[in-house]
Amino acid sequence: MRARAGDLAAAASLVTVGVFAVLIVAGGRLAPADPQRGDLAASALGPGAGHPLGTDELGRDILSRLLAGTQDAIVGPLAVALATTLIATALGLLAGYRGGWADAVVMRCADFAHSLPVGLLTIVVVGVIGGGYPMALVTLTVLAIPADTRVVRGVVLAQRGLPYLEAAQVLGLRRTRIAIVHLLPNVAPTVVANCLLTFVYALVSLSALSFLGLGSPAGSPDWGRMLFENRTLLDLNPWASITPALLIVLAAVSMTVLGDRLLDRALDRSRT
Amino acid sequence: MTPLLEAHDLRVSTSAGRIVVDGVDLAVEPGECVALVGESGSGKSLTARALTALLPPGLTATGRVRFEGREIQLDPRRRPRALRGGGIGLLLQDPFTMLNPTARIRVHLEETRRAHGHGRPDRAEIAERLAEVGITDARVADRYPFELSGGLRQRVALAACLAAGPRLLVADEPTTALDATTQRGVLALLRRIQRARGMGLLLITHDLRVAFSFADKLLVMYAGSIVESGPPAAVRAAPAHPYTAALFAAEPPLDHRSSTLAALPGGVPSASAVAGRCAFADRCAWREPRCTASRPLPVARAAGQLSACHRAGEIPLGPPARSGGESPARAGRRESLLVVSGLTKSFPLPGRGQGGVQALRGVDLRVHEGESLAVVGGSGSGKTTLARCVLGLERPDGGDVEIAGRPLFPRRPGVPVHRLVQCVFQDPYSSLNPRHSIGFTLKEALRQGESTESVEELLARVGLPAQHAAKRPGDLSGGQRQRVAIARAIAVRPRLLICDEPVAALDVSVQAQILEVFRSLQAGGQSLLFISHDLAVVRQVADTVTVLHRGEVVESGDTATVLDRAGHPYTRSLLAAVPTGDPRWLEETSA
Repeated sequence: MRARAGDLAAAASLVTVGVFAVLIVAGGRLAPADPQRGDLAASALGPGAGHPLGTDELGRDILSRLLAGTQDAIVGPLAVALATTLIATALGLLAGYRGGWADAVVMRCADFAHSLPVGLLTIVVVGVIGGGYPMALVTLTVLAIPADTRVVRGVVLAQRGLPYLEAAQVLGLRRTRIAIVHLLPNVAPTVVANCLLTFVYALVSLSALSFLGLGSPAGSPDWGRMLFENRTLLDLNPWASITPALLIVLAAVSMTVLGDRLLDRALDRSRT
Repeated sequence: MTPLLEAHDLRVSTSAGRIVVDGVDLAVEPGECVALVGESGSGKSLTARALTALLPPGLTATGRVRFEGREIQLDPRRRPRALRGGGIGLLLQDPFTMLNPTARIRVHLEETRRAHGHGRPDRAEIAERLAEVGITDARVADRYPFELSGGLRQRVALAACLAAGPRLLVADEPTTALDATTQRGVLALLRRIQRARGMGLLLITHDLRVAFSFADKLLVMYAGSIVESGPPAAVRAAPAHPYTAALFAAEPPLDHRSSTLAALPGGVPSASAVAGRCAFADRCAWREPRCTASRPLPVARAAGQLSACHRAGEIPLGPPARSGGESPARAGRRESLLVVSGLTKSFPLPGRGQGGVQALRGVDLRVHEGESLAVVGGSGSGKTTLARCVLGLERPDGGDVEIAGRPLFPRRPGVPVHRLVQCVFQDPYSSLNPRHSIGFTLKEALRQGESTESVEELLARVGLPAQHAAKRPGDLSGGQRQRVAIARAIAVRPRLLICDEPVAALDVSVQAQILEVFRSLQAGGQSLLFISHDLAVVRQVADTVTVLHRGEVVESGDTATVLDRAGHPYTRSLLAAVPTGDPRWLEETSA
């Protein structure tokens, strides 16, 4: 019974993710109006004819801005997640399989980075040093790597004692080949699931930065920035700030559910 | 007399409707010991679980079960708590996970006592309970489970079961995880307590010989149903069902090398696959059309035996005939292939500073070209450490290992050790990479050996069809996986093949098949270093035997000489630990 509810949630998440994928590619073209064109005569309208979700303070169409913003909203976090996963997996394999000094160096660095306050540090780096959106992406990536490295190393350690790896060693295969050809496929399910969760972390963090006015440039149809800019219109057109917030939550929840589900299955499989 | 436990038409099925136990009838009289024997997949453990209302989620049991004349519930939620432990106790297989690691031994005993309405037992009572299971050191009560050996833990678990005063004890493979020498002690103890208390006992085991020496009544289970039952002596003298006969014949004998190990083809089918027909028909040499047309009912044979076989009485079955003699003398090129001299290795114990466990204390041994040497010993004897040192997976502290004249330590460049020595590991379930196809695994090994052989040829050499190359380990049975593991090892054409307990994780009938594979390799001139705790298996494959005890060689020589005229007391204790199938086997021990 519980399994069925889980399957349903996972299926719904998969559909949601699919819709987002379509929007990334075609969001701008699906927009009924130009997301940047304002009409001061029609500012802060509620939902109605021509503007299904109303307009913002400058009279720009909310729906169009949301659709056009999907690409920026998703692609940035995706880049963070992919970069983090790539680097963290390499480091995790190195630390977990090579062991010895490599493990010591990688893990002490991870411990150090782990002790830093992530949110605060990102705000300081992006706010003080500047560099805007690209800098925000880089900072988030660097800060996400330690936790992911730790996860990958944990899975590698669980595999390391298994005879199939020793058999590969006895066959005289090179360490790097064993790590990539034999070990990696067996930690891959966890890596993939973890990548989705990193995506969620990046999505929420970037939205928060935009909300604070950091990261994405002013005026861009970023969901976090829209939430910030339109919060003053809550009594005139509440949809202008509620819908971007909903989209952030929807993207984050669907990816989390999917990631959890994959992680569960990966763990189940490693148990049998 | 009403039986203590009576089960009629017991069935277990999954929520998807797949049958796992298909109509089992059994009865245990008070003070009687009934053994349920079967290979893995036969449903014997699930039968025990159903009777104790401990089926894993997703499985449901139906049927009528009476305990002391009263019908009892099979639904776990409706089983009265008083019946658990106090009425029917359960002793499980793995003494390493059965006890709570954070609770002292005393607490385990107190808990069962108090759960059944007794007062908190005092020290004297706990000491008495421990003494009953042969633990005379009262200080054990204050230890934690991880401080005890496997044998002691199993005794503690038994004491905890007995503390509730069960009228029936269900013991599910209680000695399978234990060392052979410990097994005999625990079985003898179980037997003695069962007799002293007049308790009913249902013993679940895969070992026909253990059942023969232990039980008053024997039930043989196959693919979810009971195929034969009867008094052990009668079954042993004349098995009435072809499966029992085949199982009996597949057990390797200790006292001689049989020329052919009677191997049953294939593996145990699922109970649903054979519903409505004879479960054993597909592997039976005496199959007739009616065997696949209907399920045979149990037919009474002489001396209280029942056999669920359409052809019971028609087919001549007997105990396995003694076949063959000693090992065929191989044309011995007496060149040394592996020379191990003065090998020492110790492992540090966490928190003990230096010193630690001395796994090997100066081991010397020699394997000649084309010869098979067996290294035998109980757990902790250092036999696996020895294998790992030769494989280069462990670095020895001292001594020399030389293969084909090349020293292994210190490592020298230009000596590709993997071309000289390969290994077959114990557990075929984890020694193959689950993510790669069989073909990929074997191709990689062939490349490492710079061999021109094809995957198909390699598979054929270990008796597998070529289409297995596309499969993954998860699609194969344990025996098939072990064949693949052997194929991977011989792909490199190593001078020496090390086999670390290669049949210990396999069922008896599959074990015989794998031993035949090793024999065909031997016939092809392959040198083997065979690590095993099972002397009956060793008898079937080894030319010479080296007995290892606490990291030292205590005896070595020709297999026949060592096993028939053992000189060292340790060797004799190993030999005595091999189940003979005779009731006297358990009487002679004083454990």
